[in-house]
Amino acid sequence: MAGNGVIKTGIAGLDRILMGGIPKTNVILVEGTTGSGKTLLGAEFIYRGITEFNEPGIIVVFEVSPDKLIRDAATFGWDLAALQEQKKLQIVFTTPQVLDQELRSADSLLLETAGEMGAQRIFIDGIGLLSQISHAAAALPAIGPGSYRDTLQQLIEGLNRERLTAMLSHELGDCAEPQATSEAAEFLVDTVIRVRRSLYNRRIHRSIEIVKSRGQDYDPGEHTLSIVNGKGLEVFRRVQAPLPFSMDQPTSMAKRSVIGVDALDALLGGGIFDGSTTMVVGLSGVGKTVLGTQILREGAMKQNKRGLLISLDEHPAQIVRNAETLGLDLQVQIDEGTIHVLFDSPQELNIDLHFAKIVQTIEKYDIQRMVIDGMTSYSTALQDQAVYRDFFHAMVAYSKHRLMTTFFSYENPEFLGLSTFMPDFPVSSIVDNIILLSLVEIKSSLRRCLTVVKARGCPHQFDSREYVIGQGGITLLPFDETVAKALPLASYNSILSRAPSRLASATDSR
Amino acid sequence: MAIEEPQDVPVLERLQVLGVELLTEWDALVFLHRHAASLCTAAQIAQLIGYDRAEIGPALHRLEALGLIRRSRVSQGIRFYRFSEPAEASRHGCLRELMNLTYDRAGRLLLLKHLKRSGLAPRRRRHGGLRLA
Repeated sequence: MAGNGVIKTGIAGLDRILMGGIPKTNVILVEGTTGSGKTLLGAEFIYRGITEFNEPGIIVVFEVSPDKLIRDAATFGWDLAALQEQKKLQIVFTTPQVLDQELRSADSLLLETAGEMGAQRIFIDGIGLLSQISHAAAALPAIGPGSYRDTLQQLIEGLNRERLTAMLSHELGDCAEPQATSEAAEFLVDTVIRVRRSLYNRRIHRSIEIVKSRGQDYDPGEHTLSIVNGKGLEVFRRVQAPLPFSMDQPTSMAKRSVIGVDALDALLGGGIFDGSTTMVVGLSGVGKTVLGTQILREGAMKQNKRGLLISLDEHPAQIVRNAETLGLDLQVQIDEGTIHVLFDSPQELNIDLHFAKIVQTIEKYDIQRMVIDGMTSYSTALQDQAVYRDFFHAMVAYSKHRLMTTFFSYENPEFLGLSTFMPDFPVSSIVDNIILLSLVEIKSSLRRCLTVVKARGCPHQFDSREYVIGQGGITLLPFDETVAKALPLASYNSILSRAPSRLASATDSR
Repeated sequence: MAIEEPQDVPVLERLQVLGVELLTEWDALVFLHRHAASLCTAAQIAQLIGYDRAEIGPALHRLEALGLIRRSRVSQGIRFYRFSEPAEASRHGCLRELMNLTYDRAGRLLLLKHLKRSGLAPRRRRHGGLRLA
């Protein structure tokens, strides 16, 4: 018992969605289609109650054989047989007819057993079957004596009388009658939890939603429900929801260098603020990942900021190897634990799980500087602009709440000219700083240039600066110097259009 | 460890140690063993394992007398029927061995050979431990 009349389910992540738990003695309906996880949810509710909160429980089954329930539970490491021997659990096999009769009976054997063992929780698997009892021959009345609603009301009365916190599972179907019975159940119970199993791009996706819960606040919407091998269920809060904690946003006046290059800091007006978010936009091959590596190393080596690199594209081993070729020994910081790399495959990416993994890593290692390389891969993996946008918003909000300095890289597909920073959705108002990495064609060669387009609160410069990638990573060239005897970028107009024209004065001076 | 073949188990001897003689008794015992605690009527057990009520009643009574099941008080015809693990090591071992036999066809046929049928004709068989003959 969690205190204040709230009972914790003990199911990982679910109590957070329920803002701490469920009011004691609430009758909870878990509804869903076949294979959505109803029985597992109910069994874990009872198991966690016994093992984590010392609350004995009863599981009532109509169709599932108790020995199979015990066998299946064992795959999660739950020893239900041992709990039965300890008299903390009783699995009861019965029929809907008997349950109906029992709960109307003054000397119910089931409730007597509940009292004897001090049961505080009960799970009844498949209450939809109650709709078939005693009226099998006749049409089911919608309301009044003998109706399913009436039967359910009696059941709920009996459970309330015994002050049991009950979970009832209800199979959802497609035809009209089960829908009607489900609606009746939804109305009568205190809490409705809907679990879903759906196919999404040929993948199985399980979700959970609190539809209603009397006497409490809860986190609305569809959250991810995951069956974890050897453990049980785990609920991952949907990533797009507003953060549950205080929305007071800490701010910092501390300015830090991005990569320790004076020229870049000068462009940024002296560095960027701690806790700010920066979008690094550019074509493939302009050095976004290199810049990301430098950002993290600068933080870890010179500013004592633990860093996290998140990638959907490249395996950590490949990232380390590529950095090494530029003389950036990322492995040293990884071994020291000052930089962490989180790689998730874009295949089968579940964004709620991924976000939870990021948050867990950040909190475990107290990450203060983060690079997400890159956002384009999320767009491709998620194939859902709304979810993609929500993930981005959630990352920005979380990052700012922790006063963490975060860099997002984004691969802009536009080669010639740039009509928008991120074609997926407008981002300029969300991030604090935007650094644009461009390729410009001058004579017959491509040259790289860096432009600080936006730096909130910083007196930044709008100059486009040429940079090279070599040993040590990205180096900005002095404003008036050239590479390979070419004119400096300052000698051209329309650099950002990626179709520059030489200034007349520059031509004359040559 | 060598896997025990069904024919290696002296079935009759084991059944005698347990005191189970009739097929009806054995089927009811297997059902209650699988379900551990059943809240139902004897008629419902009979229906679930494919016997007549008249056969199951005496079988349940005998299993209780043998200490293999426990029955609660009756409430409007309903009882808790609970499987009861024999306390004596010898009976416990016999029961385990015989239960293991029920999980394959050869074992079930062997059991069937040694169990007597009750005088009543069985109903249409649908479920239950020995529903194969």
